[in-house]
Amino acid sequence: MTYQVRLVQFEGPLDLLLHLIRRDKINIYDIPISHITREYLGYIEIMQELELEVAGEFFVMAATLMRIKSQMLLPRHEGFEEEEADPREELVRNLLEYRKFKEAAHHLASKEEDRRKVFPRTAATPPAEEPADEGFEVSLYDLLEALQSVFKNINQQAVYHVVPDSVTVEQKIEAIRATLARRSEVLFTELFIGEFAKIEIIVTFLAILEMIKLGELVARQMSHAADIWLYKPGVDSYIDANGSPNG
Amino acid sequence: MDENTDTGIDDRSIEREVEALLFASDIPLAAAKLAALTGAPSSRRVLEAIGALSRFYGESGRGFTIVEVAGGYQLTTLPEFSGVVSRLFKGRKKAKLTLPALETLAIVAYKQPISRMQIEAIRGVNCDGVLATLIEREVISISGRGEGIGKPYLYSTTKKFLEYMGLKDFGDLPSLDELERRFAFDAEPSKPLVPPPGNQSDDGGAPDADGQ
Repeated sequence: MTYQVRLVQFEGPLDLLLHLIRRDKINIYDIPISHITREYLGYIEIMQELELEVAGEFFVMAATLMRIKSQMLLPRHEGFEEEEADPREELVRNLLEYRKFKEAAHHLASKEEDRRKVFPRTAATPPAEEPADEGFEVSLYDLLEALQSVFKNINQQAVYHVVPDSVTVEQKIEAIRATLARRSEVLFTELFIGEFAKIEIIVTFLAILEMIKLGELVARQMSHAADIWLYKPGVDSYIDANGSPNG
Repeated sequence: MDENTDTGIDDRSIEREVEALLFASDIPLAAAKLAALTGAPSSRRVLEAIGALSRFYGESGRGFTIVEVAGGYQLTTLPEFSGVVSRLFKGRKKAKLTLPALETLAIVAYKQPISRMQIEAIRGVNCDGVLATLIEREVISISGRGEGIGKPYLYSTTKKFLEYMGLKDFGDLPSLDELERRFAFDAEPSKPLVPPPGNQSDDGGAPDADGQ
């Protein structure tokens, strides 16, 4: 069973590195290269496990990280410190440069948001109405992190279930549609309740990604590490400001 | 509406002509253009008229106002009416730009004219699809061809970019230095690992795009 979910516009390796740096509160000028390499490769692994199309750039970066790591291990020549460049230098410069534009992109996003609230006299292409503006849309990384914790939970439970291998992404999509026909929103983790087999969890996850891609689902959360809620776009729904009734 | 003597508008035909033009136009109109159309003696006179109209709309509690955008002036509804006006346009949906698209757009805005290779060197990913989207949305366009192998296309933002974002001009955007300073909370390196960006111009060799 091979499903390829291609995310329309995938953030790149630098984005992933910045995500890890932020998450682990790392000093960008002094990156612990073995730690970051390990975390980075962990992500690539899970993306591959999901058979997400991992862009070639991610592997190039993986190779770069490993090269830097090995260079850091080389003994440094005493007396030549001045001359010797830090092997991380180029990477850091790229990250700093990229981060500036990421910030600029956020600035543009807020400008766009403001502008969409007003309508010019002749609105040839009127801006759209957005779903309730509570929380923010989560990135693929947030979803992957949530998936990781689902995996962690089942590992703790250590229950082995045999599942018929006929579960398809299409069936899962139908199931999620049915759930959302009854309710306006559903907790990400709720969709995995009763699922213990890795393959089943992965199929559910792929179904969620596929529905997001098709515009049938919107994933939002109030803050990082908060619960992720899934909505039908355009439905007038909201998350209560305290986060969520966890259950 | 009865004769108003305190708005300073009624008899002064330039105000009323400017209002008529802004009402009829579907694009922002520059002061110089308004001056030429109305026969106003100067752009400054037009700006006075725009000022008088704005005050009048504010004081008389209109649902719209005049905004300065993309080097011109335009009538728009007030933000507080976004809900009701959105209901009118419901279904005619145009999506917000995605984050990768905004990132690419930001790079073009700050570094224009810039080639795809140079954008990709900054973002670290292929940008073909995103660039196509941005061109389709008319916020960037091909503005020329660069030096070097294959004479690559160069991209720049369009006037529509300013309009889409509601920006007066590029001065409305924070400078790159300012953006950098937003991360001042980062621990500074004892010895700067990366020399401060003094001459970051990308004349000469393009930044190397490969990660090796």
